[in-house]
Amino acid sequence: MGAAEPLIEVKDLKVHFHTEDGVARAVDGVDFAIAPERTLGVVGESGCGKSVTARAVMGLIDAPGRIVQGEILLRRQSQVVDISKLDPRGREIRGIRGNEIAMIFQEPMTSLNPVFKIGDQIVEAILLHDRIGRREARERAVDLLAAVGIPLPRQRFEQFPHQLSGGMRQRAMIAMAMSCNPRLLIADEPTTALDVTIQAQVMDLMNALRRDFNTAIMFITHDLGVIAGMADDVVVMYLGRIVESAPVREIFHHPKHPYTRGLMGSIPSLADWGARRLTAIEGVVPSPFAERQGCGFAPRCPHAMEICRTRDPGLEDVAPGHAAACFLHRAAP
Amino acid sequence: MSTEELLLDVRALRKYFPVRKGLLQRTVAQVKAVDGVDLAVRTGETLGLVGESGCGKTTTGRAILRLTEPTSGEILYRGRDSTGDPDQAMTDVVTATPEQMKLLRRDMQIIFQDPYSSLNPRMTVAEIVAEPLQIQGLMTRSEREARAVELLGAVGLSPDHARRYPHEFSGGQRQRIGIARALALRPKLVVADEPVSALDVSIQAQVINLLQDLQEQFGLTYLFIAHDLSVVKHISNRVAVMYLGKIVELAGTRELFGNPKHPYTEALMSAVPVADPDFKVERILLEGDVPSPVNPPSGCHFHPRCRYAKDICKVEVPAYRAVGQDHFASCHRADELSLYGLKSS
Repeated sequence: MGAAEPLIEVKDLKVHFHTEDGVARAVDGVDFAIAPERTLGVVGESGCGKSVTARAVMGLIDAPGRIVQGEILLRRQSQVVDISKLDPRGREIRGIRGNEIAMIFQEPMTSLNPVFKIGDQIVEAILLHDRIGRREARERAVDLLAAVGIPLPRQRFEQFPHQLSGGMRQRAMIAMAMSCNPRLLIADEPTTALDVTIQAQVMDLMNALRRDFNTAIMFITHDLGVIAGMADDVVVMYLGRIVESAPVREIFHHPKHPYTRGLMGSIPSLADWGARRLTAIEGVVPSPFAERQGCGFAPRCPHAMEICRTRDPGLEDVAPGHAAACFLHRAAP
Repeated sequence: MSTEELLLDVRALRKYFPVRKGLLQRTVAQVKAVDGVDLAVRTGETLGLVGESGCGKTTTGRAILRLTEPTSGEILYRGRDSTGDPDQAMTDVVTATPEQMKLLRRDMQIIFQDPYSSLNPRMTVAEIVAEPLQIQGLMTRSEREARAVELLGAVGLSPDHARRYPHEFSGGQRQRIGIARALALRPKLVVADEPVSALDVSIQAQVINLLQDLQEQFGLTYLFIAHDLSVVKHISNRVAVMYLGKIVELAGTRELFGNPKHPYTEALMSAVPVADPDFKVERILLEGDVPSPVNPPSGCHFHPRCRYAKDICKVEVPAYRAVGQDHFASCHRADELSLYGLKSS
């Protein structure tokens, strides 16, 4: 994933939820790295663990969830911090969260406080992390609102979240996230709740911000079209693990894992003209409570072999920079 | 096109919702959710109805089935006479008596978007699927149960699912239950309102394939309502594009996507992300949001966001007219503009 020292490196991360029904292995051994100024796309369906992974990187795992294994290394100029070992309510993580790593969510209404003005919420975020005066913070907030393409930023500053449309709220969220010039922006399905024309505006905005602020982005989505338009590198998650990882062109043109191929076959595309029948992936995602045996995708896989049901394939390189967790792509299993 | 082919002919359909305010709850404004929609659905086809949130596509679907009472307009439906042949005269759904309506419901059914809220959690799957038969007073109890099991088979569920309750099923399976219920009365027309948008990608494909199989098997006609252009393009024979309560363009799928005549269709298509990093489209970024249907813009509703707008667009409402073979659009400049379509390969 590029030669540069990674900004963030996640190693063998496991996040388990201890519930009355048993242990849900939401994230079950995940490795990835994001280099500065790169965008990593994380794709998967609901329950694959992509959001929990993101929350772990933000240090936002709460009971009954727990990081049971692994490291989340954030590289700073002189030192490396392991976020997974920090107290989620401690001073150190609060210095990182919002400041070095910021996050935007799918539904901006749940992350904006409905009883405070948009502008004041951004000012608060700035004052929390920067030692500047209120007046200066206010000016910066207005500039940020303008930078994310909100018309009449001074008027919008005085408005409450409910007075903004969905697209405008998402822009305000992005303005708040960018307020401290984070090195990593985590975007969890930021365009999923938006209409396509508004989604196109927000994707355009995020691509522009990435250029202007040199921010690395971890972009989480279930939409392969959005991934194709946003990501430099892609990881595909299934049942708490990464099943394939590669640069964006490679993964779209030469997908290796049957799950990745299945996903690509299941979406109708505007670029298709033939009356192609969609190749649906049969069955349903198994319960995360179930004990894993062999490859997690084997029960739904059209190519499953004997070995797939008993042994875990693990993620291994199939080409330079391209890894897949599948026995089909091994020389001699 | 001969009129006998038409199964449903919607004319000047309007649905306004009053905005009430104050102590006396006086009506201060109208939300013109559906504002003069003309839509003809042909027997056996899938007509896609696409648009962004708030454009009125769902209200149109519900008004056609009179799940919400239309404010005005006609909804002409071609029923069958006693021998099973298509009726010469069409029945107006809007003015149908309750008795007529009950019979019409055997022919017209709906699949809802949300598979969680549309199934009664206290009923077993068999009861849910057989409920339309029970309401219509058809068959005996045991016949109904047998029919429910048969329907579950048709939608890819197993007979032992019949005694279970909705919470035991995943989203995709629940949507199959909803589809089985919609088919219980052997309808001719099914309004599918965003039937796959609540589902995961891999499950979406299963349900889309199922809908296509069932259409062939039972000779269904679909009004397929969705916001996802790729899905609509995949499943539809013809597509209607809606904006702020009106149909702005309608054509055969290939024609609409290859040769759009309305600037909104062009912009909508260019905004859809395509799952191919090398697929290059000229992105036409629309400024701003969809305006409020309480107080829509003057003239052409789309003009404030349209990059081709001229003075006439601000004052005069464009007529919805034929702009090609079986191709309709409401744009003053439809004949002179050359808009960007998708190239067919």
